[in-house]
Amino acid sequence: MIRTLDSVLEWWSRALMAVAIIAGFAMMIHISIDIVARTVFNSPLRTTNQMVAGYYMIAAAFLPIALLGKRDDHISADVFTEFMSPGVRRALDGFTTLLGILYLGAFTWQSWISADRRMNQGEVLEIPGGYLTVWPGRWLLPIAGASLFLCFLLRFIRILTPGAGPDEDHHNRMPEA
Amino acid sequence: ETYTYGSWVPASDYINSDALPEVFRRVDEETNGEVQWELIAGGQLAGGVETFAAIQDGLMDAGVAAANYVPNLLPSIATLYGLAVPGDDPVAAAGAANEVMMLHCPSCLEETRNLNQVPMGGYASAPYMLICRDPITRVDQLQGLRVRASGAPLNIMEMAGASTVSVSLADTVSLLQRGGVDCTTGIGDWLKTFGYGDFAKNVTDFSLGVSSPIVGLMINRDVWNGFTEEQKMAHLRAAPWLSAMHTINNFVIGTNETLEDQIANNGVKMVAPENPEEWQAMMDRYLEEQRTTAIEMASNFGVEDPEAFLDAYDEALIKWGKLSEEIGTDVDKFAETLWEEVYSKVDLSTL
Amino acid sequence: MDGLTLSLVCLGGVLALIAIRTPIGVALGVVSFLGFWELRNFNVALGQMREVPYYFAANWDLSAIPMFLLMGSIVYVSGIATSLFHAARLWLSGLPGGLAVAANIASAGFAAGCGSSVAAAAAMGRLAIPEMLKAGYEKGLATGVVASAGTIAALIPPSILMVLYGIFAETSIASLLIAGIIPGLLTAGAYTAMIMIRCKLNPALSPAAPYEGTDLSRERWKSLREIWPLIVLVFGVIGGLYGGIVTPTEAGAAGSVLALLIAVVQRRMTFLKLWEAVRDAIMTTAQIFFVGMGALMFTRLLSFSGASQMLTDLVAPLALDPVLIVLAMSVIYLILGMFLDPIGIMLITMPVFIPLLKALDFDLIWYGVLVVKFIEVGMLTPPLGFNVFVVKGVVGKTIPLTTIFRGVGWFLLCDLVVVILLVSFPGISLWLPSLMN
Ligand code: NA
Ligand code: NA
Repeated sequence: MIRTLDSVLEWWSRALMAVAIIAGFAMMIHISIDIVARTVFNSPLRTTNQMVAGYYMIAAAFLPIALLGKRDDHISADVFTEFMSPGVRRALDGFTTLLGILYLGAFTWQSWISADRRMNQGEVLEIPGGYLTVWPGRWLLPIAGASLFLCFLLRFIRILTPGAGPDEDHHNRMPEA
Repeated sequence: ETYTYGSWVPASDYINSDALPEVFRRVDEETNGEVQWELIAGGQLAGGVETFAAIQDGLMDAGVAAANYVPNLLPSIATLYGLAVPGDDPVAAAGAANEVMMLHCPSCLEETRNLNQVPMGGYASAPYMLICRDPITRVDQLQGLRVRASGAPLNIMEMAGASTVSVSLADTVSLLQRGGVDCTTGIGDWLKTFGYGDFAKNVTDFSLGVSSPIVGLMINRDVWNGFTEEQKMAHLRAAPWLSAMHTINNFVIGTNETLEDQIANNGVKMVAPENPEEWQAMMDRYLEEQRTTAIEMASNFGVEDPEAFLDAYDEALIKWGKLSEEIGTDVDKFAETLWEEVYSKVDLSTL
Repeated sequence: MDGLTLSLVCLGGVLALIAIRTPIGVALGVVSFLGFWELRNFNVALGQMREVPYYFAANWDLSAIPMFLLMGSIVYVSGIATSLFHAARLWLSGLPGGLAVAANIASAGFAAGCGSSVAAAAAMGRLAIPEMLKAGYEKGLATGVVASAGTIAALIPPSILMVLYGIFAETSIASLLIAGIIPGLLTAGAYTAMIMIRCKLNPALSPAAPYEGTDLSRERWKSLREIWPLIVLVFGVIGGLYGGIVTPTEAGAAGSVLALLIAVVQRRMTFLKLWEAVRDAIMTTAQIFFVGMGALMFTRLLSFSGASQMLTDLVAPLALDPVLIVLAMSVIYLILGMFLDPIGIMLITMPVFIPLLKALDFDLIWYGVLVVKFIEVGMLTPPLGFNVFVVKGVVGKTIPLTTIFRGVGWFLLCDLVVVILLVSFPGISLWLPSLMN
């Protein structure tokens, strides 16, 4: 059960990450095309700033948070915890994961409200000679938030039920040294 | 009770240093200290776009509202205040804009009500001008010129055949410095605030129009409804001072001083158009188009009868053009006129 | 609870939560939430969460962060930068702590093409830290030098922070950018001197890595021939900026494409490598932004509780003594730098300090360099040190955060010296801009 949930979440978080990667690449290309179009062809693109702000940046900033949470890669500090007994450490781990669950719960709930409101208002940004619809980008927040919420929840269940399965492999971004 | 006003404008700006404090002093005095406003400036509480949600949600109790940031939320006000008013009379533009918004534009007030907000105290900015690296005196020089612009001046430049660029105000300076753009459109203050005058020394002496895009005192409606009738009146009486002080002291007197200072100390030159009529003709051609575009835009956002408030604005502009001659640069007189002509006539039940 | 008490309680709360290994973004967010609840009400607390994260990320100016990160990681995965490090290593092999000195000098060079210290630390971290660890360098030194040397990128143009300061202070961005060059080089020099002295006194920090080949001088000159791609990249980015082709915000994206082109021409790029490069850049972006949006909520909380007013009350009585003012501001920046992100620090301090400085007729360019230096010091101090976080992101779980912070401590001592010099001799900052006029 937990294993199934884990693999579904793993797959889903990676999918979100893939979208974020594509958005990051698109951001680079879009900005660069704008520079070339402006400098060489004297005809700049109209939507660069707004596309970057309303879509690419949102995707890049939020979509990876689930995968980061799943791999315990969100930035945190081992100040005292390294010297604590495994039991205390697990209790604290449970507590901080619970905080994460509450925070992400509130985040998801509120960004959902916001996205819903913006969709109904048809949020746009002003661009030269018209408008760019940006409300769809708002929905990336509750999607990413809910995913990280579930990752924290899974982690919490793991902490409560130690024998339930091996800990996920901790991803290590250090290149082979 | 103390309420919070969040301003995204830099703290050193005149609106934060002088205009708003004067308004809050007057409210304080008229309500015998029952309503006090605390000003938190420089975007500490919310940025320009975020301001609308921050007021709506009651994070802050009031703020500076630039309607063109949220055309979908405030289509009537954004349409109205996106219009370029020909000439260089910010007083007339601010007077007319306040009058139409408060008295002759039901959809303006309905839109703000839907956002749980109450608008007052709009102000106009200084005339837009063409600020260039090389002197530009003829309209045909605009052909193919790289110009940074936004809003109405952007459309004017496009019509004249310029190639417009829409980078941010802050990024513009580095492009001007190295010739990435030839010109920018902007108000005189920007020669100093964004440092354009350091690199673009030629200001073409022709107004690309003034506009009145900002509602200076946008109040959360729950807060407003919590006020007694006298407290509401105190705000309506104080709001004209925001419009008058900021429009005259900052955008008429202050902008001229900045310009003079840039001319005297920074090598900036005002260059006269070779043939003023052709510039005027360009402007006239734009103004013809402007109304059609405005109606189209407002209708796209679901405004029912944009013609009505556009007509009211045209009428009010004529009226305030005359009043402006009497007002000149007299702030008290402008505030009093605004009170007599606009704010004293506001029906509280419509807000 | 009055504003000051609430602020202090919240600072304490953040510290406590971070100490028990709460993700730092969560710690900041939760404390801000509770703070707003106490200060205003539950709905306002929720409202913060509704809009702040979106508007924090939906920001054109901040797009420079992922784009410069991307440039760094393209340079890294393609192996372009390895040649630079290789060259530096050959040339500096005789020096005590040669690899750390090489990392430091390479960072200073990279700074000329990179606008944010976070991005510089990320790029150099991927490149230099594994090499140093392989050579048996002490972990604190190996990671500390990269985190610290990254801050040079914010001083030497292009610099996002200088541009932001220029906007807040309404002063010449062009002069600011030029003004940062010498202070940046000074910082690099101070770091180099410190590394060499330390490694000389304590050889265990950096086991000697003698050159093993036969013809050192030939290898040295040969290594220089291999660094042309990086020179093309750096001069391409700087040239684009100074030629008015790209704005400081766009430079990262243009640099990424240029790096990509170079890598493709050199046949050093594959689809998989590109994917990895973008992934690393975006992962680090999300890590930083997750903390950043918490930091922004925390900034808002401090603003609501009257932080600006408190600062004014603190500084105003000193208004007649410029030395005391600078001293007080330094202390304030140090304290805020512990807890806030660069933009948060600017938001809170600029409205208070800029009018004061204008009134006192201080030179805003000189002060801008100081502010950027202070903010960069804040990028290194615990508990919230974004440069340290980036290095942590690069090394993964192999090195604890505390080790990195400890390693950074020595560099902070150098920064202290640099700050004293910058305050005592404004000419260090102002000489170059004065040539421009
Ligand atoms: Na730099
Ligand atoms: Na810090």
